[in-house]
Amino acid sequence: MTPLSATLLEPETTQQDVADEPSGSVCGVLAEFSGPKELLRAAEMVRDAGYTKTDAFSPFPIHGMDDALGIKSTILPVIVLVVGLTGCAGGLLMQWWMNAVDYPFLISGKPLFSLPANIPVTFEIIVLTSAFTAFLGMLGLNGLPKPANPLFEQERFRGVTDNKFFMYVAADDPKYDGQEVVELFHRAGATWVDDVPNSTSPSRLPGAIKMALLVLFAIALVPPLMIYRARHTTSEAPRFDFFPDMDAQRYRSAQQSSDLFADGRAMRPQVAGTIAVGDFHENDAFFLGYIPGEDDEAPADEPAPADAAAPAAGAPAANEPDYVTEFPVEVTESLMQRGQLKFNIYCAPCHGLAGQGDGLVSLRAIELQQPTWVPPTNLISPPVVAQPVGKIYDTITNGRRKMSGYAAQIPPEDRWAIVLYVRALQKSQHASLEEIPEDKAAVLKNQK
Amino acid sequence: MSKTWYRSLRELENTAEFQEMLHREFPEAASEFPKGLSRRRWLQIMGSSLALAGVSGCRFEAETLAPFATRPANRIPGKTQQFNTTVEIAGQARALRATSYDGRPIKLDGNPDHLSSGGASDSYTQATILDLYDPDRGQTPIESTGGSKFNRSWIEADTFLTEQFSQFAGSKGDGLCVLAESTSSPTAQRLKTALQDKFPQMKWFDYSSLSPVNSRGGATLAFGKPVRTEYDLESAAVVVTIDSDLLGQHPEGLRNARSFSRGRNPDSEQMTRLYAVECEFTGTAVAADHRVALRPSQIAGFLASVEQALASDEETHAADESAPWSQQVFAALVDDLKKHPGQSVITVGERQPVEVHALAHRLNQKLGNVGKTVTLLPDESSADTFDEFVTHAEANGGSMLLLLGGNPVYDSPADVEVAELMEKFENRVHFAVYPNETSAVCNWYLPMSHPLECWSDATLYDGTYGVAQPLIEPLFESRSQIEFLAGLLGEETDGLELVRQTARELYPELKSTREWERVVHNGFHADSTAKPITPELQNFEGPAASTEWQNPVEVTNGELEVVFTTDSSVLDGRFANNAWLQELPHPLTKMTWSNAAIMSPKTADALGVKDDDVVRLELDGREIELPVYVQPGQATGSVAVAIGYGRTHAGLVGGDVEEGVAPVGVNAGVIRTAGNRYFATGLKVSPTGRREELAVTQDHYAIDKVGLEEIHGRVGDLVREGTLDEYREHPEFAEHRVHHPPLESLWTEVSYDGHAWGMAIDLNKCIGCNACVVACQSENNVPVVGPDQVRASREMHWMKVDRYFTGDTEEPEVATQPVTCQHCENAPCEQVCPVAATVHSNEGLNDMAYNRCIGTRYCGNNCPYKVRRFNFLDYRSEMEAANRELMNLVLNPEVTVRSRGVMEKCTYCVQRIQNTRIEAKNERRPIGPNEIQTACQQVCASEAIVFGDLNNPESDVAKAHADARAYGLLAELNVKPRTKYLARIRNPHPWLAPPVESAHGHGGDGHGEEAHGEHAHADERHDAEVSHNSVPAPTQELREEQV
Amino acid sequence: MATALAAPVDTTIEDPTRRPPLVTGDHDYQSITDTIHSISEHKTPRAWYIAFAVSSTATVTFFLLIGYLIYQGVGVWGNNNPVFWGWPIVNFVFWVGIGHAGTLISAILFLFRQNWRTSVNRFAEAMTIFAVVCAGIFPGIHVGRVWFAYWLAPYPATRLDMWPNFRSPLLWDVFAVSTYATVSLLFWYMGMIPDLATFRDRSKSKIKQFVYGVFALGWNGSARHWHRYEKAYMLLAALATPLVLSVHTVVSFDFAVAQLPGWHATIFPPYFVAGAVFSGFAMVITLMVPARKWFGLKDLVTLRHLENMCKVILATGSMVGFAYAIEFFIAWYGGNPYEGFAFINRAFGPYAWAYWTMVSCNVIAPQFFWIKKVRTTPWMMFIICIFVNIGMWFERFVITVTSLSRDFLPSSWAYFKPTPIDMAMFACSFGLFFTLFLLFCRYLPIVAMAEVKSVMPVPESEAKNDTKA
Repeated sequence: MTPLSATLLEPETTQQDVADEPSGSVCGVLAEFSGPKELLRAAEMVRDAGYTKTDAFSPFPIHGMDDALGIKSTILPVIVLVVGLTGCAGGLLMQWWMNAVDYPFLISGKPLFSLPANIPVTFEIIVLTSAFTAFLGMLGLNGLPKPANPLFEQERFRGVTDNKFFMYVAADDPKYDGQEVVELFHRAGATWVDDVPNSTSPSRLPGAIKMALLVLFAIALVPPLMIYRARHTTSEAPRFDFFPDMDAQRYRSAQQSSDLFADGRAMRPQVAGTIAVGDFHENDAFFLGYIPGEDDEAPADEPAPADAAAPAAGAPAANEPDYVTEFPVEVTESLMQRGQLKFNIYCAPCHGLAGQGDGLVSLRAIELQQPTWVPPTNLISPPVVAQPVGKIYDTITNGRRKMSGYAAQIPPEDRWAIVLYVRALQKSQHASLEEIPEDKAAVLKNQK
Repeated sequence: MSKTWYRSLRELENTAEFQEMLHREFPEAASEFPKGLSRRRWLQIMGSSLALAGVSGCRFEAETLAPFATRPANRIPGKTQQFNTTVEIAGQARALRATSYDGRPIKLDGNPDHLSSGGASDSYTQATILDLYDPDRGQTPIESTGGSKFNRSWIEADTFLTEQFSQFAGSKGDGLCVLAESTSSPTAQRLKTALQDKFPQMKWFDYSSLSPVNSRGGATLAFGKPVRTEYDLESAAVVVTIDSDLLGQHPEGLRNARSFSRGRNPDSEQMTRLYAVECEFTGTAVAADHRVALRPSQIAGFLASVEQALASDEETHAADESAPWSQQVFAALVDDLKKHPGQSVITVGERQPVEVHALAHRLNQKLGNVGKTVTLLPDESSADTFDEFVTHAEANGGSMLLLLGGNPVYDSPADVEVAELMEKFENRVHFAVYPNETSAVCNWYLPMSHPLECWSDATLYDGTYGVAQPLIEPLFESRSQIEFLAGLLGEETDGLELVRQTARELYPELKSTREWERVVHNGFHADSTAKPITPELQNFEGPAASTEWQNPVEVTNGELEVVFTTDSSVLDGRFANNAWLQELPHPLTKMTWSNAAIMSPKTADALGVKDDDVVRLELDGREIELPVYVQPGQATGSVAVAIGYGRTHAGLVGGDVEEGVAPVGVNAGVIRTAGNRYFATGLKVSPTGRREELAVTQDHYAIDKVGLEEIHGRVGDLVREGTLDEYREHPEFAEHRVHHPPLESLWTEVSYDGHAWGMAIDLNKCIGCNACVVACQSENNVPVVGPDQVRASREMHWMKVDRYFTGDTEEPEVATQPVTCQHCENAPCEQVCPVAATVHSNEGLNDMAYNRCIGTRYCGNNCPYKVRRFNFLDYRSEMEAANRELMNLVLNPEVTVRSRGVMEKCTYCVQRIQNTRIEAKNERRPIGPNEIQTACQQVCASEAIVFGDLNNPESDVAKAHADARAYGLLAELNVKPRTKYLARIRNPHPWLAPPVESAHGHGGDGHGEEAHGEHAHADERHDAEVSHNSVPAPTQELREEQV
Repeated sequence: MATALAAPVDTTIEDPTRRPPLVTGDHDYQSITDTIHSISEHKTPRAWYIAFAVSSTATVTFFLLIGYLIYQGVGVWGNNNPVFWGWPIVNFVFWVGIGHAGTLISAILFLFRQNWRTSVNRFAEAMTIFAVVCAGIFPGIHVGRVWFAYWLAPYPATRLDMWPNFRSPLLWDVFAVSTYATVSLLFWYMGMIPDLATFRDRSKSKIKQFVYGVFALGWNGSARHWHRYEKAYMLLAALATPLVLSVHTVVSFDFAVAQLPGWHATIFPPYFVAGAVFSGFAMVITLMVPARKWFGLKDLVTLRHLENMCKVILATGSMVGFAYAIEFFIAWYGGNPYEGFAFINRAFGPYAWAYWTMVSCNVIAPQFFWIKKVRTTPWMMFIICIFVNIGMWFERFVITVTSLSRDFLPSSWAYFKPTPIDMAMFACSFGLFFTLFLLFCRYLPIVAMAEVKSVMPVPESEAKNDTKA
């Protein structure tokens, strides 16, 4: 018996309730009648006789049988109405929530939610839900599906779906008395009357079928379980992707690999001598940190042209370019701060926060006694202090000895900022008391 | 255990993969391409996208990052860089700016700093980038001996060459003959002279199928020396193009288009008026106010008559209505020229014979244009000496013929049997970018580098010295021309050094590194531009004046005139293997993937042929067969055939008979003899009975009467036009052309407070040149679909340039209209998508979420402009073919490559919007008013397209939308398009102007649009007819077959 | 045996005072059961095997073609730009239309107490369901990326947790068609339960008994069951009635809501529904005429049944014709030039042939049903109905393709050419339809026995039959 019926059957006693419980060996009396009219008449007689747990069986519905048996009208319509209304509300709510609340998008300049557009779907949902209710409700109230039934064991009863008409009174009817019922049926003109013995076969499903159903259920569980497992276990391999329509793109994006080139890179180096738009600079002092000689590019075979002979005056030793000695940028407080920031990011790890060459990396390398480790320059040592700013800038740009150039990482402005900060560090280390502003000086004095 | 391990290892050694792996690990060349996997034309093997699934299995591809150990300075991975360079196409140098992504060039545009383009470019420039990544380019030297080919290395090639040249060193170069494709590169010139010094006996000939023989000759006739002419169309009042595509194929086409479009401003008091006298419909004529279609042979007479009329000082008067169109225009033209001395321009196309060019010079001189609207510049380019080569070769042949570029076997005149001539040389070496028909008859083919792969230089049209810097190391084992020549000289062959050497010699100031770097950076040497000259006009006999052009033509088969046109897609055939160009619709015919016998409806009628009929063209004994395309406006009695098709050794796209890939189109060169390289009379056309459907992107089928009448009714509403007078009378006539009920929304309209991206297209400037189509294709990874799919009307171009013919079929007017996604604010496509794959952004973009699209195609149905494109098949499968992989590199990594089953369309170049947004954000500033350029806008020479933020009153687009001429296409549907069109203003001569009818109360005074419902449409029909010169009844029938 | 009704009667009398019997011939309950049950019980006729062989081959081809389609892409069809929707959608609308008669007969006629429906409704419902199956397939495989078609379901998809767009008519369509399919199936099955029970009780073989038994859900004809059963059936009918009307209304929205000239018309819903009923009944007759002959159902499906259906066809056919006329009137009266051209183009443009085929088949052909002779001669009505079926397919073709092929911008006009795949798929979809139908005829009660019994005239002297025993 399905749960639905279990809950709903109280008001409506049905013949199944009767047939299920075994009361003695007989569960009721069954009589056959020759036609619809006879059956109707019999039903009325039985009803008048005061029997309640009765039922009539026919190949097709017989009009008037409801009254004849005294069947109360079913509540099915009410259930359907309730569910239908719920479906309506649910449908509207769903559309409003999905399109206007959870994931709103601007479509054809239309409002996020407008009733006209949402009526069709709502309507379909109403129909769908109520239709299912009507069908399942009918089954539930009728206690179907019901595989076994004592009546089915009556050979004659098989004709009920063809051309036979039966009347039945259950044994547990309060006024039940086998004999009386039999006589009543005979009076009603039954063509055949007999007791119905209790069902010998179990009213439950046969074990085999149960097993089969269980197995089916188990098998049905396998795919979802596999998916669950796939989703909740980690793996070396990339994620599954059964339809890689646009996931695998044919273009080569930034830094991707490509077997088209021998080095396996899709990224190609810039050809020597080429100059991208915006990479040509007039201001050598700013971008190089030194003023290049005019004719450095002239090939050996032809003599250096006269017009570009003399390098700028006061140039230091030969093969040393003409470094700028003044900052080509405006020296400001903010530049100083930026310099500190960048210095601590890029330089401090080796050169140390104070630029004394005692950065963490360096310390660690020494601690591990790395044979190849060249200790970083002490930036506040006199030789560095003596260097023109241009040279320091050039060092940052192109590197010195083991230190590689930072041109790629640090834009020119920031390089100058760092140079400025280095200068500040140098000054700070060799500062005499006079050079310190009064208030700060006071602080220092107190420390002593 | 271990045994098997050893054995397996030994087996492994012999497997192909292992060999290949070895190869990749320790390669000689920069790269390796498996060849010959699929040698069918890839356009025919479009298939399933499941093939792609095969590539990556059922998992995501494992991605590996491959950065540089030390990052190059001033390059951020994934951020594009620009490089100025110079590229020579068919001897014409172009100042370009290449966009490079991670060190790979992905797009070419004009160099905005140089006047020749001002940042614009044409379809050839745009498509050149595709050639760079074309695997059909020569990849290794090839030696063919005993009828079979062998891939060789350069080492082997060099041994051969050195051995040869050591002999020549002895013989002073006797027996050595060089046939070089004309180039303007000073370095090449320098090396040439160096070679000539080294090998005095060497014979050197310059050759190009497109060399401007006639204009040079004309100038020499007029001034005694070759000159180049530059035009100032902006300040010219009258422009007369004689059989010339002044705004298109002309070397300075871009510059001309720009200055012309600036002169076409209807709001200025003087608007340039353009007369076009020509044979086949050129792009220039699209912009013309008056066009006369004459057969090329009549044109000389026409111009001579003009000179006559100008000489006579009797009062000019209008020809009467009944007179033939040509006479009416003639009268008006003469009148205009007389009225505007010193303000006119007369220019002649290369096709016309020497005298006509000379005559044009004389006229310009007489009209006092020279020095005002016409500027003369010296012409240093080397003359074409192909004829001398022929005589030389016939006479003595030689031991070695060295061909530098070019493809004489294919494109030389048909009556010169170049192949046989070449046989007269023991060794024939072809050094070119592509192995082609000529290489096929050479015993050595040597690969030349693509212009974007090597250092070089060139002289621009205006004499400016331009430097070409490489964007990428050569992809194949190739050498640049100058490196090769230097190699022959035995000098050191560093391209950069060679070019600098030249620069030093030519311009001492460039000795300084800084100055040199400046030039490299700018792409050209600003101070080197040629100074105008004023040569003395010589006395010469102009063409004989005749009135033959006045009488209406009788179409007599056998007496027809054939005109050979350089094609807007493949030029002279050199772009035959370029799929973008092959699929680019011809501006007027909208034909793709083939050439045809183009003739006017009247001609076709007289010959009894229809569209797609395959006909035999016979010209003194030579014949070709190709389908007919009926084109209004082709001069009656003439047949135009495009050269450059029917390539037999172009590649897997353009045709390669050795690989079993049929040629595209038919080689018209077969009937093109030295005598008549440009046009010829005496053509006979005879139907073969066969039919061959041409792949056309508009008017996909011979249209019926019903449709035709409808089109004539509609064109006036879609492409809104008015005469200058009409415009001055009531400027917003365009807005009032279509009447509709008030456009009100049922809902509170969405407001766009932030940016509101919009576009405006000025139909008055557009000349339908198609450059925008290719630019869009290159920028947005638009696939190529191939002829069959085009026939099925499934072309994928995001941008289409519609063209409609109106008026008489023999003397029609044409209206062009670029159409792309209009980004409607009430986009009809959006509401019908069940999965919300296309939605609106808060900046008014109609976004397309490819990954969400399931391909119901409902949006396509509901788009009134039909600008949505659907991937019916996997149009990318060709790239999966291993030997095609290289082509992936041309893709723009910032635009998703759409897969099969997905809808796509114009995005207003959203990737460019985002990039600019990011830049602005980083620099903590708002986006500038005109900072963002869409690809189509960037390429447009006539500045017809503007894009920007409608909410920014500073922006050009906001101004354009506010313009009186602005109107929304199909705005009556209340879709609120974000793209607006500016109505086209024609400037006809008063005598030829259509009667301005008092356009049903257009004045805009009081009467709102909603005022009339029905009758308005009746009116539209009416004035649509009137606005194009309506036609006499007899031609009606003809008109109906076409348009 | 009863002989009351042995004499043949004219069931097609027009006199309202006399009600002709719904069942003719010498029939009692027993014999009706026998007639129907014997169809599935007796040895399968050779003809059935042949028919089944043919149709199932077609079905297999159909699915092979679908496989090819999914492998290659929708490009294998003739669809292009602008005709983004071609034959697949035409076929879809065609099949959905056919799938209207069944539920209409069972639901609406039931509510109107049209008892004559009893002997044809089962048949018609089955046809409905099979037609809807065919219909459902086309839009499914029509999308460019079939493997993501499930995004149409209201389920948070594409890693963005996106929901479908409920403003799209296409989504309404998904809901409408799926609902219709489900409810029709329920309706059909529910109506079949008592007859399945009959089969259960009549079958000889154990397997059949078991299978029918399972599906009969233990039905035993209890009066109390009948009571709720009838109520539920009534409710379903009441629900299905608006549903039937809604389905094609929503399908018509796919077109009517779009902006395309020739689609954008308020007349579409009623016009589509009429057309659907029209085509549906035509298909019922096309199947019923041969079926009643082969399965000896002449007494159950009498001429009167057929005639009534012919009358429905005549009525709806005229409605459709009227709709065609109105379309033109509106196009002209609306004064929208694009709309106007759309219809001129239909009638005189490159697709005029299709248009006139449609008109002659749909408007002219059914007019013959004014003649009683035609209404009552099976072979005549069969021929006319074939024409109607053809005509209705063309109607969908005309609406879909001609409107799309020429819309606003002349530059995008193009002619649509179907590919062999297009044609093969349409042809093979019939294979699927008939395969299902043959299986139905063979194994299920093709006439609602219980209902027929309830309306058949009761033989007086039947009491005698059963006194023996």
